[in-house]
Amino acid sequence: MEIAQVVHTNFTTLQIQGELDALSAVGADEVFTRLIQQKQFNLHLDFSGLEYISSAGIGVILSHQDEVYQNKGKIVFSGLSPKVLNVFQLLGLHQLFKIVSSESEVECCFLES
Amino acid sequence: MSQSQRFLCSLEEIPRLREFIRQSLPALDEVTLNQIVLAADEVCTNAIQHGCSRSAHSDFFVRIYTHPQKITLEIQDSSQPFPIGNEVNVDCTEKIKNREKGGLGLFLVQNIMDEIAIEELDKHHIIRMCKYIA
Repeated sequence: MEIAQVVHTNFTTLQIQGELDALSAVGADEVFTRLIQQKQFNLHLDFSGLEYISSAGIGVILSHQDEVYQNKGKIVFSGLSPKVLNVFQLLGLHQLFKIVSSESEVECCFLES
Repeated sequence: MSQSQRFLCSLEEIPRLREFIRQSLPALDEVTLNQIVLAADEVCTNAIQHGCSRSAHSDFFVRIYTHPQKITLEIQDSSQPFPIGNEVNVDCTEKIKNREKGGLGLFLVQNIMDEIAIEELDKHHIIRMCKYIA
């Protein structure tokens, strides 16, 4: 798994590529923790390069959501493949998170904040 | 038809496990194939994280049976058996509020697989999971 970071005016994009499982979740958790310590609470997770996610990967994201929310930030997802979206649906997360399909929608989400 | 493979009790083996499952499955739609791979990943990750790697027999054995109407996975290891047969409900809103990372894997497995059974043997157990595909 690789994570590339792109800083925008209103938010930070994390482009997550490859497979996010119990092994790679440790590295992902470190990236999230560092961003939150840097007070970057508006996060766009670009999953267009994400081929696989397990519960360990999802758990990392869930564990940071409350701190993001408490600091008036938000997490927006884009680029979910049908199989990754299905994992979100199995857990009911598609009803809890903002999932968009285009880059312009991502920007709109953060303009609202 | 069945295929089987042995894996070391290490999280570093999980990508190889996923590849073994993908290669062993017949042609399925992308979502169903991913679900079966995910169920195997979750059970084996749980076994590794809950004792398998600390036992004298630090490996586990996976067999996959393919049938036109169903896929059966058998995972045999010597870790402490976990309550996969019990109904688990997950409230992700609570997990977010409590900033929890774990506890989602078994819920996913129960939602993906149609039948789950645990067979207790002398020094190990077998988790047998089946998904109907027709």
